[in-house]
Order: sequence, then C-alpha cells, then structure tokens
Amino acid sequence: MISLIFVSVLSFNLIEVGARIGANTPIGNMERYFTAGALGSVYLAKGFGNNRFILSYENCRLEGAGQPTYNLQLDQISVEYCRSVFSRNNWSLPVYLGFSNIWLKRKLQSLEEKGMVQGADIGLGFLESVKRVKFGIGFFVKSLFEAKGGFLKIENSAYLLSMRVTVGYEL
Amino acid sequence: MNYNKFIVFILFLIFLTLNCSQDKILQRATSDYFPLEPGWYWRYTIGNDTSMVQVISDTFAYGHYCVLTNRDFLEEYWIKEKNEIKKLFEKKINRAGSDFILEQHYRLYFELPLILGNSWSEDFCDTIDVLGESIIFQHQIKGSVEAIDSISTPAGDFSDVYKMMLVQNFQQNDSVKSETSYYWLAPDIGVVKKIENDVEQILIEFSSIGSTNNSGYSKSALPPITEEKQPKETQN
Repeated sequence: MISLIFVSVLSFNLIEVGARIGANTPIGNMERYFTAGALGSVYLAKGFGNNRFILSYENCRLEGAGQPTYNLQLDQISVEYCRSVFSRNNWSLPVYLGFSNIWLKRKLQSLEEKGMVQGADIGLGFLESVKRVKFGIGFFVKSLFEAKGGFLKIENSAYLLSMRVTVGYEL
Repeated sequence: MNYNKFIVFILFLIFLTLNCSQDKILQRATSDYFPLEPGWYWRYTIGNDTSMVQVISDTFAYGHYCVLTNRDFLEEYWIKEKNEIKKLFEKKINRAGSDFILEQHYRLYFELPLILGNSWSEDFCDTIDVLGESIIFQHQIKGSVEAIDSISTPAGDFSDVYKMMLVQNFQQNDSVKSETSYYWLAPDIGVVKKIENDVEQILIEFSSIGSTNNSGYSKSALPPITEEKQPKETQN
C-alpha cells in the first residue's frame, strides 16, 4: 500500500491533497447483514482542465446488523477519474468513475477473516473552489465484486451507497 | 504529468487485482448459510438409504415464532435470528406408562455470523421429580467453526463451506452420554454434509422455491405434507 502511494506520488506530480469523511450504507444482499458505517479518506489529485485523476486511501467500518460485536472493515485504494460536466465561476458538477482494490476484514470480537475484493464507484458531486481550497460533496454507488480469473467472471457482488464530504488544498 | 507513467500505474493496479481475486470473503459475508424458507428441501444419502429435510412453514410453537421443518416425517422447530440459530430440543422419560418432560425448549445450535475459530457453549440443568424420584438432568451443547472447506457432493461442488462441530453432553443422574456431530454448511444452500454418530449424510439433491438441482426429482414428486400448527412429536 505504501509503495502504491509512493509510486503514485512520483507519477502524479502532485498538485492537490485532501481528506474526505462520509458514510457508506449497504443495499441489496448486504443490507441484511450490515448497517451504515462512517468512512474516512485521504487523497492526492491532479487536474487537467475539466479532468482530474484522484488516488485515494479510504477506510470504512460497517457495523453488523443487530450484532454490536461484529463488523466488516473495508480498506481500499482507489483510482478515480473525475470530469466536470458543468461549471460556472468557481464551482462545478463533477462525475466520478473509480476503480479500487478493497481489503476486507470480517471481525467478530477478536476473531477475523481477511480477504480482498475489487470495487467500482460511480458518482456525482459538487465542487467549489475558494482560492486554493476546494470544498466538495459527492454521492456514489459503490459495487464490490469477486471475480474469478478476471473481470469477465464476476461471481459475487454487493453494493453500497456512499456520501462523502471533501476538503482539499491545492499546492 | 506524464501520461505514460499514469497508464503504467493503472496497469500495475489492474495486474495486482487480477492476481489477488480468488478469495471469496464477500460471498461469506453476504450469504445465508442456513436457509429456512418454506418450500426448500434437501435430500441426503445415508449408506443405501436416503433422508429428506423439507421446510414446511413459519409457525408458532412452544411460545415462539419459529420455522417448522420435516426430517423424514418427524417435525423439527427452528428459530433463526441475526446472531443465532436455535433448535427445539425435547427430552422425555417414561415412567409407569406416562411421559415426563426432562427438557423442552429452544437451544443455541449455531452462533452467527459464522467465522472461523468461533465457538460457543450453552448449558442446561434441571431437577425433575418423577413419581417421587428426583432426576438430575444436564444437557450441554458446545459448537465451533472448525474450518473453511471445499466439498464435492452428488448435488454439486461447493466452495467456502464452513465445517462445524457440535458436541452434546447429556447427564441423567449418573448416566453420561456424549454425541459429536459435524456439519458442512454451504453458502445459500445449507447443510451439504453431516456426520452424526459416525453416520455420514451427503447431499444428493436440493431445491429452493421454483428450482431443482440435480436430475429427475421435481417438487411435484414430493410426498404431500400438511401444515400443523401444534407440535406432536419432536426428535432431538
């Protein structure tokens, strides 16, 4: 993970750093087992006109539904492509398309099972720039999936609704 | 910004993903390992014989809303909650032509969620007066999740199967008995293999509502079973 961030810093020629907080809410087959959980994230971003590339690390913990000692922890590294579909003055409406590796931990008291799945995000947001500071909010649908031997054989999937509030600083 | 570097980075990330995509933790986190929906049935082979389990209906018995199942025409009652699965245990003793109840309540069978290494235990102890004779009855149930396994059965191959161990210790005055059972629970299927008192049962066919696995056996061929609201007999 550290090496990935290191590679990205070299590749990105960093111009923006930021943090996000928000919440993930499971829907569909996950809803029966987990409830909403808070998320925290840090990111690095680089912009090219209306396009931005974002590399982020995010941590989220979904609590077990009706089971206070059980939770599902998600640690993910994402690469997002962000494009502004509408902008005026110093604010814009970006759409997001992200891809992530997600390390999952099922934890029951001191017991845990670990594994890795893939994820994809699609979202819509609002972004406002005040001098070098950027404020934003985004709404996402996140899909988690387990593939066998590649992306064409998805065996299991689950979905989350996600809301993130962003604060970034342009270097 | 060098676009080539960025593309190399993306390819590296995808490569990493493709090489690490064999785990099924998501399936284990979002699957039902003990489905109890009315209409389901499972058929097992026991040596040269077969055994059938069918979920009949939701019902109310012994003071609880529960699920009535039928195992080879004997009724079983289950309570399924988010953190546990309970089964009705009934133990009787016959004296002078009359039955006296030693135990009759729902007991913890499996603790949920299933996580490797988890274990649980539940004890019951009571003293019953039977025609002037005092009988001390104890029943301990101990369970544990032993392994995550893959298993092949005539009904199919199943991965991410939890192997469970259940030990029941009975004591009736000075008489002591112990029974050990092993269950293999497959995601969204249920019990695919069971070893109880050294007798092995393996799934040969199962069906959810409107679908049948394996050949030659449809739901219409099942013997009719009528729904009964009041329990008549329960086998431990």
